[in-house]
Formats: sequence, structure tokens, C-alpha cells
Amino acid sequence: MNQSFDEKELERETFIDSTQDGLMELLMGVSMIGVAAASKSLLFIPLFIVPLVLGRQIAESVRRRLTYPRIGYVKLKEEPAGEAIGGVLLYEFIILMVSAAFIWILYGDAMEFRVWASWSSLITAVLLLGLFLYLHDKSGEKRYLAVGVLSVLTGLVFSVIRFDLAFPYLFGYFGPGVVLYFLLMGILMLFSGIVQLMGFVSQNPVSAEE
Amino acid sequence: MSGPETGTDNKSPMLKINRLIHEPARFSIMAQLSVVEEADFLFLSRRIGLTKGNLSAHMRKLEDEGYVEVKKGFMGRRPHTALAITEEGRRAFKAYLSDLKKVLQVF
Repeated sequence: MNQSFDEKELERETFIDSTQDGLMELLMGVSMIGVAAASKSLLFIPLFIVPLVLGRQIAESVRRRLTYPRIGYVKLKEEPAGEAIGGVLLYEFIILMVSAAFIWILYGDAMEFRVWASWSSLITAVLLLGLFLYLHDKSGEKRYLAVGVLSVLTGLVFSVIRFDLAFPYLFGYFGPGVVLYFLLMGILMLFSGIVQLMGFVSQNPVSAEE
Repeated sequence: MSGPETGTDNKSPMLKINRLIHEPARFSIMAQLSVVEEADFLFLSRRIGLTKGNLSAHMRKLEDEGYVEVKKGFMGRRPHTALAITEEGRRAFKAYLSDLKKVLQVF
């Protein structure tokens, strides 16, 4: 009898195989560090805007030179853009509404800017948790869940600790908690991406068939 | 069900199995292509574990049957060949899986 066929599992294996170069993590890391850097100077805004807007094109361009000659070319199935954007907006709306409800319960005023600012790193972390849950669903990899949990814990710690009394001048436009959150998570993602990329290049020589 | 090597509805489930897809290498090709938009020879041969020559031979049979299409183009300045499952191929593969399930229920 023939092989069994688990479509979801094959999709996940293919996703892992095609993203093993670490470029996704690398671009996420640059973008997150860019957010932190932009709090010091708006000159750094392109550092997070460019990977955010042109990330796919940048990754494709790099993959043509680096990835496809090693492991071959594959174009994964894409969800309809409308559904994807709708899903992201709905998730963010729900998280913001739940946050507003919590703030209202805890402080009696859901419109107080200072309260939102002080919890901004946790709220940001929960918003980004959606991304890590999505990546976990696409790949089945538990490390994305671990990064998501680490991200939320980091956001919680930076929301609870009061940094602003010590070095307020260091953090420019945003609150210090959220800046440190983006910086730490950005460095983690960038480091993870670089390690993956180096491992990928060393383990996958350019195919002789290319 | 479509395909030249499949029977009619009055046959037993085993006889209805699409033999073109039932061959393990071609099954693997169809399964892999069914979960992506397109892929090239290097990616498929690496994933499935076939040599390029072997893959080409199986691919030709699937292409002749209209299950797979070959897209020739350029990647940068280099010529590049991508392979994708056709709508007919997708239907045949689904039907094959359904028939296989029926066979397993019989036995």
C-alpha cells in the first residue's frame, strides 16, 4: 500500500525546509532593533519600516542568490491577502479591547495615556504573540511558542519595573520599558537569524546541478 | 474519476485506484506539489530523494497526463524551470486519496 499522507504535516515540513536559512528571524530582529533605535532618533525609522514593508522582496532577492542555489526553489501557498490582513486587524483589535478593559478595571480610567504607556511593553508583547503563534501553526516548531512566551514574560517584566526614574533621557520618544523590550527581543531574533544563516550556509553547499 | 488507468464506478475500490499516482515516487511528487504553489527540480529531488534523471522521467509521465505543468522562465538572468500541480492534477490526487481510503476501509 502507498505512503500515508498528512497534508498539514507536509505543509509544515515544507515551511521549515524553505525557511531554514534564518532570513525571517534576521529581518524581524533588524525591524525590532529599528523600533528601539527610532526612539532615540527618527533617522532610524527606515530600519524598521523597510523590513516591515519590503521584507518579502528583500528576502526573495537574498534567497535567489543564497538559498535557492543550495536547497532549490519553492513558492509556498499564500493565504488570500484580505483574509490575512483581516485576521491580523481582528486579533489586534481584540487585544487592544481586552487591554482597555483590564486598564479600566485596574485604574478606573481606560483613557489615561500614562497607564497605557507604562503597560505598553506587555501590550506590544501580546500583540506580537499572535505572530509567534502563527509561525508555530505554520511550522509546528515549539521554539516559536517558547519565543512567544519569552516575549510576553519580557514585556511583563519591562512593564512592571519602573526604569524611567533612573535614565529617562536614554529613551527618547517612547517609554523605556517598550524600548528595552524591542531591543532585547530584536537582539535575540537577530542572533537567532545569524546563527541559523551560518549553519545553513555551512551545511548546504551550492548544488552542482545549479 | 479521471485518468486513463482508472476504472468505472462498478469496479471494486482496489481497481479504481489511479495507478499513475499510486507509484510511490509519483505519489510523493504529487503530494509535495499539492502543498506548494510551485517548486523546482532541485527542491523536489532533495525533498523526495530522487535523482534528477529519475525525477524527470516521473515528471514527464505526470505532465503527459496533465497533472503537472512545467513553467519555464528566468530567475535573474538564469533560465529556471518551476513545476506546479494543475487543477486536473489536484482533482485526480484528491480522488486518488479518497479511493485509497475506501480500499483501506474494505480491507
